[in-house]
Amino acid sequence: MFNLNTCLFQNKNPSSILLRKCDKQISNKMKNRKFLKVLAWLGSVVAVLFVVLVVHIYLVTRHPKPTNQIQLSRIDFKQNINEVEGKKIKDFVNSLPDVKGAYFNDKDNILVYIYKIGNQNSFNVYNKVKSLGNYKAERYVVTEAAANTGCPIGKDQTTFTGMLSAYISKF
Amino acid sequence: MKKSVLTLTACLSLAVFMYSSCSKEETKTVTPTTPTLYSRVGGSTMVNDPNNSGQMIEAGRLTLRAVVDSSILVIAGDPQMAKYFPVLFAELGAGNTSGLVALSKSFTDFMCTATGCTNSAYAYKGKSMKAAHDPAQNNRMGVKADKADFDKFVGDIGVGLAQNGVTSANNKQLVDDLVALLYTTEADIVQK
Repeated sequence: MFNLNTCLFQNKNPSSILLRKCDKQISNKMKNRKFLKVLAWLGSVVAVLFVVLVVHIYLVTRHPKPTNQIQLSRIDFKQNINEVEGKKIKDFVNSLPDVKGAYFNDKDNILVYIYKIGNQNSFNVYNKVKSLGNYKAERYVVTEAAANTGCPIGKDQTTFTGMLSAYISKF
Repeated sequence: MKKSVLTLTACLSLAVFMYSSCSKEETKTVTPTTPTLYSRVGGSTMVNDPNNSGQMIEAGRLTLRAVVDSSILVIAGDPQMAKYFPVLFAELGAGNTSGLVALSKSFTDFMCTATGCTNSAYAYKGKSMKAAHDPAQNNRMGVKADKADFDKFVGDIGVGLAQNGVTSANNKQLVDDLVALLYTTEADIVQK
């Protein structure tokens, strides 16, 4: 701690010049202490506001963790399927375990369905559908060339925000 | 000491005020004079999420998500649209199934934002429609969309709506308004 006494004690013959010098040093120290105190308070306020901001961002952006275990598959029928038959196939596929939704396009004879991967797979669904009515049908398989194109909003991993979102969503 | 406590209290009060001033509860109390499309399909009323047990979801988002999920199936089963969506099927073999979930979420976010949802948790944060559908700016876009495909896309959304019980016969105004909304993006999406 620096004060007038220690300042004078360190100098055997204090003069008026020295007194003014010591006084000035004390004044500077006090100013520094005041500055540090203000800085500490300012830092605390900024810290509190930052924490509030982080909590706010968390509360308004939190999402249920998205499940990535959903898959889309398609079966192309090589024969005409009317509306009634199409509905029968759709209802049958919908009744299979872990199938979350199905749609039959009876104009183009295409079945599309969504299922949860794990216990269910597209080979199993395809075989069950085939056995339902001995249909002429094929599993839709995408060529490698076609797989290189796709809907842009489906999987944005090329931008910084896309990559950051994908990273944060892991938590 | 007393002064410090007072200053700290003032800081905390300020922080609480700043937080509460932009919390979503306050945005919910603002009632627009003209109902938005979002409020007409359920709005911000919280309901149970049937897909996620124990979680709540805004009714408007639930409606739009159901329409989007139905529409994705319709579009995926449409051979005219297949050239834009092969990656969703292809990911089966690769074992990467995140594309479908991401598509559903992004599309639902986009619809929520476009229909007037004010909940920032549901805000669309993807590319602009123009950039997203330009192969030069987005390598996920294999080909440019044309007018015929865009019309078919809107038609498929209509089928998705019908699968959720909304048709021109029972709610013409809502169908017309949603179709009109989709066509506001035509100039950005159709680039061929």
